[in-house]
Amino acid sequence: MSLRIVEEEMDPEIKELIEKGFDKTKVLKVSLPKPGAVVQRNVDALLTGFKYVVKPMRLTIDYPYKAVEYPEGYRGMFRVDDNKCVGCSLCDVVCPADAIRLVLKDKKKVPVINWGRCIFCYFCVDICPVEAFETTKYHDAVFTRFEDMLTTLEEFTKRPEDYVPMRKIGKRYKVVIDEYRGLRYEPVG
Amino acid sequence: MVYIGPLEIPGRLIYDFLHIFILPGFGAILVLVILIIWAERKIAGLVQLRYGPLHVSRRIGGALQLVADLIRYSLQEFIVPENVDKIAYLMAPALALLFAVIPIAFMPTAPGIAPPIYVEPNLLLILAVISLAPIFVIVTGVASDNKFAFIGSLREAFLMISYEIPFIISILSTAFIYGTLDLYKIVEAQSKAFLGVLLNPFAALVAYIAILRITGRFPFEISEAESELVMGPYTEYSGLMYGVAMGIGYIKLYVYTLLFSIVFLGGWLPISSTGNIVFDYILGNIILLIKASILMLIAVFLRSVYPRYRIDQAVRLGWSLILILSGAAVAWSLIIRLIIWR
Repeated sequence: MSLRIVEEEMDPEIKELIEKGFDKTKVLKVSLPKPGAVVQRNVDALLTGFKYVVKPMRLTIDYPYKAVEYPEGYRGMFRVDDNKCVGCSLCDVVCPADAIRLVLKDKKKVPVINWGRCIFCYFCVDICPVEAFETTKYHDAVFTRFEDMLTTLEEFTKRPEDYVPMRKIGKRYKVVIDEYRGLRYEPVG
Repeated sequence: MVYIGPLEIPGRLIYDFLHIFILPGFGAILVLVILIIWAERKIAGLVQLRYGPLHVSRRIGGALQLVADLIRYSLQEFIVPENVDKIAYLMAPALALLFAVIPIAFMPTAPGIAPPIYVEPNLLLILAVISLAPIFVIVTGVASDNKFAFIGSLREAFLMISYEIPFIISILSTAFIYGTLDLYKIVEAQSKAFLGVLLNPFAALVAYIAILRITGRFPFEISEAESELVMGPYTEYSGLMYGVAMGIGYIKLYVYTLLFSIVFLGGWLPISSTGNIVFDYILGNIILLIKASILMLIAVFLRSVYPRYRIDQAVRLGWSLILILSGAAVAWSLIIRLIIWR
């Protein structure tokens, strides 16, 4: 009686397996560990750990000395071209982090950014009707004071690498999917 | 035995100084603790498929990371919270450190040379002194007015009782085999037969598991559980006192593994006394330290493999399996002593 209830409530995938001819008892017992296997599992865990100690398989990259080459369309820091800008203030309205504010330049409103608030969502870049923002892949900025993160218009019209202090990055690498390790890094160029 | 007796003043004083301040003493502690904490972080990094500490001193793989950490701790502000019991709060970690270090003075670490303080039953004395250290850990938790610290010290109290008893039983069970409580004679007895690990494997297993618990290494790192109780009994400490509190576990690991390698791994054993005191002192100590270092490396390697036991699981394990195994160790020792090896 109870067995029939179990069969009716069974997962359809397991039901299908049983109908295909698998031994039902084997299918149902699959998650029970054997009591003698505790030692075996402990030894397996220790050996796996030891394998990684003697033969390292690192998935991270040695960052400031090597860095990943970012793909096209990577959302890094950006600048504004104040000659293209028409002062529509759409970027200020759409900014979810309230990072953009407008300053007056020759009776025209032009955006400046606070890098401390910017979340790099690129809504401003997308919404701009005249494509006044020029994007870059840089994001490795290092600021030592909060005030430095508030850009002036003069700074925001320059490319970020010209006014933002940046870490010196060594060689660039690209990420390759590897069947054995998951990820692999290959030097670019 | 070619002990340098207490009456030969010149050699005796120089040896005492070296024993306490250089080779098995403070100098070796400082160097080994720095290297072991670095190794712990590095091994955890390798097993978790990352680099581990590397930026400080890149050429030697970041081995000076802990020196940088210590400089940072000592420059940090040391805050004494308002409601703590100030005397206990300041004294307890220092006393815990002191009672963890004192047993080194009783340990013979080289062939033919007596330790600075030589008494006949020095194994018993070491066990008595080293058992005092956890009491000050509990004092630390109660003195700092913090619920995390209090819970941590309660856990320490539970675990201390449930693992120190099997440890002491299993260490003393080897005394049945060797027929002495003097560590020097224990090593001599091992040189005549087998190493202690082979003579009584149950006692060695229980002692090593209990060392893992007593020094707070990983499957039993319950009283300082980072993800539950910020730092356990040491939650309220900052600055240099935090560095001391963090180091206590590793210094205890060093002292306990020294004791373990004397009792079970034969101390300085491949060599015996040659009569040349300088040679004996250096080589004996280095062999002993290599044995202890391997045990410490295994202990810190477990951090990257095992998760943390719950408090009730650990206490149950201590009072059931570990205590039964320590009883088995006593029985095995008696069998060996009375029947096999008279």
